[in-house]
Amino acid sequence: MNGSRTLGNDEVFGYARHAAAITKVTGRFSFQQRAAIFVRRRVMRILRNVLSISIGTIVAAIGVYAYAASGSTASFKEDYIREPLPPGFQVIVTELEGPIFADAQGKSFYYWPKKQLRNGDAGEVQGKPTCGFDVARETAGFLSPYPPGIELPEVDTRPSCAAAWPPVFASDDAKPVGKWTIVDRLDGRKQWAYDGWSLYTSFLDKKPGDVYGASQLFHHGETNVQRYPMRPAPNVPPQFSVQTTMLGRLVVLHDDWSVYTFDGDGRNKSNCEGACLDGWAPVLSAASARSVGEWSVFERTPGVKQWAFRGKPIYRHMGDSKIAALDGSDTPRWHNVYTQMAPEPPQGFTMKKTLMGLVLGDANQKTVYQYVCGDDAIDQLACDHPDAPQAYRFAVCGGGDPDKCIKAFPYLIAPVGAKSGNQVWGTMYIDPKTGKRATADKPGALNVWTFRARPVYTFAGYKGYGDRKPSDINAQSWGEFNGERNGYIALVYRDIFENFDAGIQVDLIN
Amino acid sequence: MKTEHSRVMSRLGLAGLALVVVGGGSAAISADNTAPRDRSIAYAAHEIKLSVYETPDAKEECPQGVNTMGPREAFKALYPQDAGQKWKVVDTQMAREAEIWWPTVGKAEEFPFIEAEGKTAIGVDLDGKTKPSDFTSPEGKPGIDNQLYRVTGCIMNYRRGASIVNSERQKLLAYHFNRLLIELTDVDSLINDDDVTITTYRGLDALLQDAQGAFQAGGSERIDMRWGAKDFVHTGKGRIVNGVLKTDPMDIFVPQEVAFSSGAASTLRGAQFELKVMPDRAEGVIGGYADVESFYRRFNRAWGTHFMSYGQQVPPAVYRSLTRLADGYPDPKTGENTAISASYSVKMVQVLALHPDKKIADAAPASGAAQFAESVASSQADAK
Repeated sequence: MNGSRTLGNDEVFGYARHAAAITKVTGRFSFQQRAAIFVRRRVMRILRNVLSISIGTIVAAIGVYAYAASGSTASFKEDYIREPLPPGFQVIVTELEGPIFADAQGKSFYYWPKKQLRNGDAGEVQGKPTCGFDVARETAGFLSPYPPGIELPEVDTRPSCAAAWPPVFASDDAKPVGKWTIVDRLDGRKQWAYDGWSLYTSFLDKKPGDVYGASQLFHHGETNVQRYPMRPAPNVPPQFSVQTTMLGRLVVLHDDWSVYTFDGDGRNKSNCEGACLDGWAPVLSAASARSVGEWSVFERTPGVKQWAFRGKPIYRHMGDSKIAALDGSDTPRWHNVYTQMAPEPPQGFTMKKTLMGLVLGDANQKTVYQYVCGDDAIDQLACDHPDAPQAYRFAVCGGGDPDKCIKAFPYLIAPVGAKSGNQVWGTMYIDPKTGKRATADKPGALNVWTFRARPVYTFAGYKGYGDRKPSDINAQSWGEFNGERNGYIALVYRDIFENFDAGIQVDLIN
Repeated sequence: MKTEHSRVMSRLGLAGLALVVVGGGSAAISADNTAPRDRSIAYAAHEIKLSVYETPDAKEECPQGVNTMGPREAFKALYPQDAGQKWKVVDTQMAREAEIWWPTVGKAEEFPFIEAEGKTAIGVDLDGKTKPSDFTSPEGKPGIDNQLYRVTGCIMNYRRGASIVNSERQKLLAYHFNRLLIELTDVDSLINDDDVTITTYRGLDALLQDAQGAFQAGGSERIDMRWGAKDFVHTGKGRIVNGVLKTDPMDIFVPQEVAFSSGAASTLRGAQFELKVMPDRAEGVIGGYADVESFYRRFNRAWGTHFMSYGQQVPPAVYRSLTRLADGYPDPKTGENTAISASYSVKMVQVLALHPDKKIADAAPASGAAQFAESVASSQADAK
């Protein structure tokens, strides 16, 4: 089949099914919505029947899931616990990260918790902001095996910590509210804190809903000390939590094990009995638990209460091999639970099977990579975006040579005028010689796809070592410290063995 | 005095007897009572490491000593911090990383890179010839092809007690990604059978261990026909001679992830297995020609410069040594060898391989408990 390959129905339609699951549980749709869902299901069923899938069909199917996911889930946003806010502050339910605190202009809030690195630790502890206006000029030596005291790239234009992460200053007459407190900065000014954590915005965020400064995703063993979006508590019962994943905000138990719903259940009624219970464990509530928000408690059998989300009873899957797994959704009619779905990739992208799981591919099923970078200064600034020095990226993608870089790791070119329809995916003009932003009229500028306002790439490689077939992920972990400090990481939508599809780490010793 | 062969024979005989008891006499039993049930047996690797022959003081293989100038030492020597000079990241750290990811072939080494010498190495006679560059095995077999040993033999990272060797062992057993599994079929005897089929797979499950951590035979392993089928499944032919499996050359792809989700694996071309096969375990070597690019990239992706520093391993020097000593699979255009003879020492335990049915393999829905239960039930039904 000239290099193309067949994907299982689950790979192609899994996304749509996740979306449909959330849609179906509500039971609150208009006739038009139900009709649209019916049509979509028929379309999907027909497509399933004709799935002797070629690449073109895969692309079409991705379009179908995109269609199914949009509209049906667009109205479902994560609920959160309301609490008093300081004047002007707000909560914005963002597309990938869910509800995030923001200022009056809609700029997302972040915090910077301390983390231990190889040769020391960086970040902040509660109540003590350290991100100041002095420009760090040298490495801190956190990144073994390299020593401290080496001049950073583009040091004359390097922003200070507080320029890259503007503090959320408090006025002199500001008053603490609930978990919102006011802390003293080293420069004598006042700064807002939430739950003790000093708050910042990001110079990368331009409009409400942007969360480009940091993500809950991509925090792995060797990444630098990153910032996190500051969010209100999701409105879930205490035994649950919500994780940001590439597919959406995934509901998990407090210990991060996934939960599922079953199509065979009724509204607040479980039909999983007998043999069904061999593989699925109802998530029971305490006898004293009460329904809250989208969560309800129903009596499964006399005296035994079970949780339901949006009317659908909740279970654990006994066969899950890791936390935040999607394994249970492989079983027909069972679904992971999301509070909201993430925006789908733009049309033309594909979802494909690789050695490590489901990974995003371009139209030719070449793995799509993002570039990850954090510098080794005391303030741990990100160097993974086109406004940062490109010397780091050029070193690993082309031995310091931009021309080699673009041959080995070509940008994913977007059609002129392409729109993603969301803030997670987008396009940007790049000067490939510098790796920096460019205007559309600059000679040689490339219009490239972006994920979280950062270009994405494929891996052509060199000397025969590159991504050739759809299952290849040969640039996964390419770069310093397994690619986590200065390198390339695939856009993984389903990590079979670990958790590169989410922002949590798995204890792998089993 | 019992020979190794007779020890294996007696063990196989006892195990064969056990199989008869366990199998209730339903399985086809060969004349020597060593035929596995259904003429098939599978093993999962719990240890894979490069074969490095080591003498106690390294005098034989590394008469000049082992390499001492790793990334950390080299950086300190090249960019002294007490000399008053101001160094820049771009000229130092990034220049070093650039050379790691894009090594310059033919460049003179900054510090001497010590390769292994000596006449002895572990491995397989891959080409049936005895050449001047070949080694003799520790047991005295000539013609051993393992030029990769020359590259790695004097790097502490690959020697006994080194952190990377130990870490790789731990990671290999901990990560399901790495679960290399072989299945032998058409087996009439585990002692002598002139025609068996070997297929490599990836397993998806943890290995059975006792309370002491020792690996136990008899665990089940779901075979990954969903994610790794296109890459990890390879079939070849072989024979068992006096309890040792020897296979014909076959290209295989070995999962060797170390860091989280690095997806690292490397290609071994013309791989030949030489394994003592027993009812409960198998051990020996896998010889073959390591694809230079694949081998080098896999190691860099799996390990960072920090880890290379533990064992004084300078990646670009390794790359230049790899390309210089490469001895197989010449590029048809340039004539340059693209692969280097190599050997991995492996230890495996017997497992019950659970094959997904074709529908599951094709449609790929099967990792849920229901399918797993079906698979087990199907396997048990087949066994009855």
